[in-house]
Amino acid sequence: MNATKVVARNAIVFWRGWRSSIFLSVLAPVLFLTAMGLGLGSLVEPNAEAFGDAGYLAFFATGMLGANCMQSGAFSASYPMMSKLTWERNYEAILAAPLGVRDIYFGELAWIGVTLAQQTIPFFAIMALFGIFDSPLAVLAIPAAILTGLGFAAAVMALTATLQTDEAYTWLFRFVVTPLFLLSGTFFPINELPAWGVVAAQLTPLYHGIELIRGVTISNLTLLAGLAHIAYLLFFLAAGIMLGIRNLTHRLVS
Amino acid sequence: MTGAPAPAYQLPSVRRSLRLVQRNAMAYRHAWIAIVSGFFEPVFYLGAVGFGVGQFIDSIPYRGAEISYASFMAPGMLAASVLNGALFDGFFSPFFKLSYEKTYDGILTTPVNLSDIVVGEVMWAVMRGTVYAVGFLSVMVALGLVLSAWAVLALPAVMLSGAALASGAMILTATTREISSLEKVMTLVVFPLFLFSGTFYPVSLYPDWLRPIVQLTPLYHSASLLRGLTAGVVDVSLLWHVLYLGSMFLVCITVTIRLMHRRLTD
Amino acid sequence: MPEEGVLIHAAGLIKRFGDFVAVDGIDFEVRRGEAFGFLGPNGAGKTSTMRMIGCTSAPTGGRLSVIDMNPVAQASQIKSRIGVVPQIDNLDRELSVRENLEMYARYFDIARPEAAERIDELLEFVQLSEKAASRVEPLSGGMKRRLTIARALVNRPELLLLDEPTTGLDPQARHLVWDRLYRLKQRGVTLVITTHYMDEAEQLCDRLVVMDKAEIVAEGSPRELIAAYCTREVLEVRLSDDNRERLKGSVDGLVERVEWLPDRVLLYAETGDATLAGINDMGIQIETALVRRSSLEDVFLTLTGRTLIE
Repeated sequence: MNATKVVARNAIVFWRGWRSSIFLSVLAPVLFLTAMGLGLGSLVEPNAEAFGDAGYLAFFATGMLGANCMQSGAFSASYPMMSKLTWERNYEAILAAPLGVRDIYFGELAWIGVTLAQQTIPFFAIMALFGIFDSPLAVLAIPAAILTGLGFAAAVMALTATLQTDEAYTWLFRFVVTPLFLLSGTFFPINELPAWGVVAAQLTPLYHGIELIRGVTISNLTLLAGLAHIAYLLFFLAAGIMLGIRNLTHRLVS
Repeated sequence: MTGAPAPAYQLPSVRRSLRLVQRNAMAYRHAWIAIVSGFFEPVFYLGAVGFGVGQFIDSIPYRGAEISYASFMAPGMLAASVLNGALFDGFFSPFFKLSYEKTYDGILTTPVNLSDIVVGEVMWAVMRGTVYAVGFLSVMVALGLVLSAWAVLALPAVMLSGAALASGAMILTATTREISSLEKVMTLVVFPLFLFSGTFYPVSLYPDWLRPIVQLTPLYHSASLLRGLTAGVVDVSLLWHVLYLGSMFLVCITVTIRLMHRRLTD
Repeated sequence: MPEEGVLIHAAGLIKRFGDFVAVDGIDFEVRRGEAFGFLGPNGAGKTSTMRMIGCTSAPTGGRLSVIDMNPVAQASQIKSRIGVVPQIDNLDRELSVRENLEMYARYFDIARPEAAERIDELLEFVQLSEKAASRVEPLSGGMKRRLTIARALVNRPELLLLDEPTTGLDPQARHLVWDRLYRLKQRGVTLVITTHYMDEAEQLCDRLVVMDKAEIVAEGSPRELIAAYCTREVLEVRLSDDNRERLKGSVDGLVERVEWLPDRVLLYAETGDATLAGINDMGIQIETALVRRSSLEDVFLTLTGRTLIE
């Protein structure tokens, strides 16, 4: 499929700086994990039961796995994509070759998936080193996190396709991404929020992603609940893809 | 009339440096949302972490007193937001003006000189940081996190921190050539500073060998100074933080002026 | 001591960048009220000279005085009395057109009411009044250049430095800029222009120096230079290779000078038509022929053996 050509092109550009890029994108969440998981974790120690049997570090790390993918996926679909779309007009050049809008779209999304995997797998490995997991099922956390990240990437791509300037991103990151990051259960369980907050959180994708991740790693998740979370995330992703292709087609072809 | 050697650097003047502040204010009239939204981030963190996680923390022993986690963490967030602002106004923004948009080249054909530009950008960073601080401190007061009247000194403390951190950031402006260095600096220097300087938890948690290293870093001093003032635990030791930040400002701004002259002189 | 009415005086002016010599000991004088040009190809040293006059680059050697002041020690005072239009725009992209001018007035400490008046005047002068609220980015190249000129005039300078003012502009924009500069000259502003366009030098400059490879190779008014280094007219011909050979053999005595360019031949004579007739008489076939007046391009060719535009 022609989308692989788009992936290939990105890979070539990426390859030049891959070492420092991967290192840095893994280092940041690991630092965060150390500070919050260990630092906050030791402060929370006396009351740690609220975070489950595995303790605060595990609680926070699993939340971080999902949240990191969200931020990463959202970011990849924002400034870098706008750069290609608006400032550098790469796609106009690519469309001149026999590739269609769908190929471009899926190529870019697949590439974001690759970068998410590149960050998530090392992070997961580090979590394993900390002794957070006790079941081989925990590996499922990786696809769960990537699915979450892709959903956000698709949503932001749909937005990017409609933008001419990057002003909207200030709103997006300050008022959508950051609150989601803070209030979807990464730092503390959502049942500490007021009632309306709990309902609101349960409607948002990151919550489901984190619940899924925690379900396969440190908490007990029923099959039914797991499938419900997966369904939600797939729905979120599908909606983002449909909207994204529609907007991108409108942008590039009309 | 002879071709005498150029002076090492020209002296700044307050009046001309203020022109940079005016220029930035004029430019931000078009992008005011960026200014207003910067207020919210530390407030969000205060809510989610300070209160959200804070309710699972009994209290923090702080220099003889016991204070709530939110009271401990809030001044850390204030210091962190000053650092954030200092980085943006002292590094990202001037770097783009210098290397890409050539804005400074245009200014330098007027009587405003390079030292004025450096001092002016730091002044702007301090002013913007102070505006945020007023807002954040008001939130702290409203949430009952300010424990003493000493907190009125938090505002000059914020200005001092801003001056020190922004001049430090401007050294990056004067020395950075490639935009790719940006990511490295953020992840390897700035991000660890944010996390490990006693912002989210006390440095007393650190092993003995790590503590002195952290105590050499700027955000630690800024956060500690602000915390002492808002928590009302005020003694002579706070003066060490003032001394550190004051010296940092003087050293960094002098070094920046020198480096900028060297970079832009041919 | 420079005499009355001399705005810029340079003697043995040198600029070196490490081992590279950009300006190699040049002498020149610019008098008040005139339009003075530096004509030369890219890399001749014109921009380096302009930057020294504009006090943004220090001379490595020799003497330079601008409005009777030292550009190194008294840079600030000089800057408040001159205006600079650089080769590459450095407009403030985060401000609107009017705001660019407003901030410039502030940098020069001009009081606000007076500044407002001047700005309206200047926008009118460069024909950008309608674009006053626009951001800089969407403006065309010509508009950006006009804005830069307006900006350089905010402090009512007695001396205006323009480095390649119409490079990269379309013909209509060029003529508009020339027209504005001409009006400035009529108002008594001294202009110093660098250019590699001979038509610009001929149109605008009262006097000029020809620069090549860091040195001044000639000086005078456009007419003086043409009279000194060229004949009155030039005949440009294109012909086949055989005919070119035949022409080589028979051209001596017919014309004063010949330049054998790769694609055509330039024959310098008092009258081109007579020369053309002479060639026809010899039976040499010509594909195209053009008779024109000599220009500064021809002067440069004579002096250096190269064209102004590579």
